Amino acid sequence: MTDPADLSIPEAAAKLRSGSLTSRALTAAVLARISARNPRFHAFTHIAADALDQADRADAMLAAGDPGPLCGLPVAVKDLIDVAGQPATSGSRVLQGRIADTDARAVVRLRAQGAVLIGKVATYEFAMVGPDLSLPDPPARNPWNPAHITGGSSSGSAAAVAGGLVRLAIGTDTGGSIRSPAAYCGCVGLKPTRDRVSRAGAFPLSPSLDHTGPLAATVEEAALALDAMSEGDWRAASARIGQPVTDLKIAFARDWFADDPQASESLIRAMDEAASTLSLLGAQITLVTLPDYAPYEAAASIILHAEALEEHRALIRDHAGDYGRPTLQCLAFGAAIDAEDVAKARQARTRLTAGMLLAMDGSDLILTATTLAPALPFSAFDGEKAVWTPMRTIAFNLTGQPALSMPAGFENGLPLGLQLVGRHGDEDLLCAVGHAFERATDHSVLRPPP
Amino acid sequence: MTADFTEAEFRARLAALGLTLDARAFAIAWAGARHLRAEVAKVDAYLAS
Repeated sequence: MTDPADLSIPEAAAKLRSGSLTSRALTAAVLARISARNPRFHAFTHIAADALDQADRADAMLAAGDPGPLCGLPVAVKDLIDVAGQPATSGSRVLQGRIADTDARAVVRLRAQGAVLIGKVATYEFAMVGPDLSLPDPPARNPWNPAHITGGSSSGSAAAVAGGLVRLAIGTDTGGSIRSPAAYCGCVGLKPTRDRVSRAGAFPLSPSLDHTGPLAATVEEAALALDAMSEGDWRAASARIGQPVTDLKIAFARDWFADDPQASESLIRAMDEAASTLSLLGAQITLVTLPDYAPYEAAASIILHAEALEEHRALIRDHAGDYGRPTLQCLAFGAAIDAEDVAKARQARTRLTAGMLLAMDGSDLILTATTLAPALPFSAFDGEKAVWTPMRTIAFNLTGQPALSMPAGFENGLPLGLQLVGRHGDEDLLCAVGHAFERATDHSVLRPPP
Repeated sequence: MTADFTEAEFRARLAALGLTLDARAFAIAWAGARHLRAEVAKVDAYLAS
């Protein structure tokens, strides 16, 4: 018999509705799984003391009538996002001991629909930089090889999902912090369209680039989670799951990664195979040349560092000694930026966004790489300075377009991720293509050894 | 800001923030600051193109 902790969200939801499984039993199984595996992966930093009570309330909601697909299902939340009554430290000594009074807006929606907020998962300090081995919580480890990093900043979210501790975790993404750990750990990460999910109650890194979204074991589960958290009138991300993708035109942005010497041969091969697979599924693949990546990265970096320093100005004045060294050093970079620089970066942002949408003319989606190589080993980090790993993510924080990272292969036993990018509001197309790709390959079925 | 942003100016700005870094941390922060100034130059070039 399948361990309830291994049931997908649709499978578990069906059993919860039929009465063959209770949320209490499911939550107990997930708690047991966390207890068994967390000592290796350090994904969770806190387990909710009331998890089984939440499950009982969900069982009552289910008995009274199904309020939604996530009712009764355990969800982990990045420790940058407030969950009432649970620690909210943003992975930092600066906020050590802080307990959230209220739920973040996205969490309000999950709780109202009966999700079990089972605990908090690790984040790079204030979502800025990591891993930092000097912080109170040990960094999360890559379930495929615990000697390697998870990527970040949604490090615990990715480790928890990829390690099979939970099926779904919530993260944040300012420059790739959902998508890159998803790629490195071999799970799905969905950065939604800007403002589709409220950021209220998440500690800001860079308010004009921050996004909140799901990391999940499969595309369908990520889509269901996004639909549960979405604010406003959007087409459901899950609406086209299972539908053919034969009418879709995909722009393959191969030169964005293949022309970079940092891209590994395995990564290039995996992306080419992904394009071939999607072509065999009937999608029309066209090689395109997207605008140069460098100005996107430059404008986003300027905005990010200026806004991050502004967010931390008061905390730095009072608590500088409590920050980890890499985080404080990165925050200090922002002192090199003036208001005039930020104004120009914002001006460039408008033009760069228009340029990206123009480059998509005639296509429905972009296919490219998420990161250019697999996860680095911890030994690459000396605890002093940050190590930047090459990726192709921050452009879409700048443009606000939705972007999905999903498993696309392996290199030396470590996962590689592809990225699908759509126009604003087109998460349904991303998820339709991602789901079709998942079904046509075994990348998402493979799991690290338990 | 002029293109020749100096180490002394960066130190002054950190001091204004109340931020004192030891020598190793300052060296890393200064390298990051110079990198960001290079990013500013890229944006300037993009807007001028």
